[in-house]
Amino acid sequence: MALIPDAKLYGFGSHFQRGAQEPRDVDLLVLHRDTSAASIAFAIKLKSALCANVLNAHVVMLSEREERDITFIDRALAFELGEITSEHFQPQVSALCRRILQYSAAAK
Amino acid sequence: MADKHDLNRVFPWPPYYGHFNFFETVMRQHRCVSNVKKVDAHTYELTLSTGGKLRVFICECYSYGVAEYAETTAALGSFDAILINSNWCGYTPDAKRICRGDKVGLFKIRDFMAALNKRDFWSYLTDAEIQSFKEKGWL
Repeated sequence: MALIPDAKLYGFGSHFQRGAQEPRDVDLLVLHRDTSAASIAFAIKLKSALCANVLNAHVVMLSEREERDITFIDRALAFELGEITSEHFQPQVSALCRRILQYSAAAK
Repeated sequence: MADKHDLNRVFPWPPYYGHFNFFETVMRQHRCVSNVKKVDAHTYELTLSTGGKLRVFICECYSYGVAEYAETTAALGSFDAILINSNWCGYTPDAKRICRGDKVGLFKIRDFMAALNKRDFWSYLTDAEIQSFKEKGWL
């Protein structure tokens, strides 16, 4: 049975655009479930892991409701990179970081 | 200034232009502010003309949300006001509501200038926020 993700990771900005000139940072959105203490703690843990593994990561954290309120994904033209569950945190983060870095390699 | 490899070790994200000069200038010109003291890269202490002091955190993040507020206070302690520096950045209604509940003002700089004219500055809402809060049943 598929696990319900605790968060989804989105990418946006120049790092993910083909042909972009040396992006200053890697813009990421952590979309977490809600504003409960557990969900916020998960989002902060994920942000910390991303910052430790992706050079110049600039991470926005929003709950699903916050995102709906401000339609961040649409406005930033963000796209989903993947899902993260607490059960498979480390391998999923590693896979996502590899995917993020592939965009740097593809741009060169 | 932090080099590229230092950026991930900096909390919070440094300002795009490397300074908050505009904020400092408008605060020094505000009739309700008698002194502006820079404490560290993102923290200021404002002395009000009434004698009170405000501990202010200023940052540039695309969209300051509830998790960011939790992260800020966990890392840096509590503040009287949290300010979003740039015009292309903002904050979420939930973050505004929760900060307001904690008597912490969450503003863009222009709105903070208006809020400072009120005694309970942290409660100030723009007209759009009043409308939005009413629609959500928060007012």
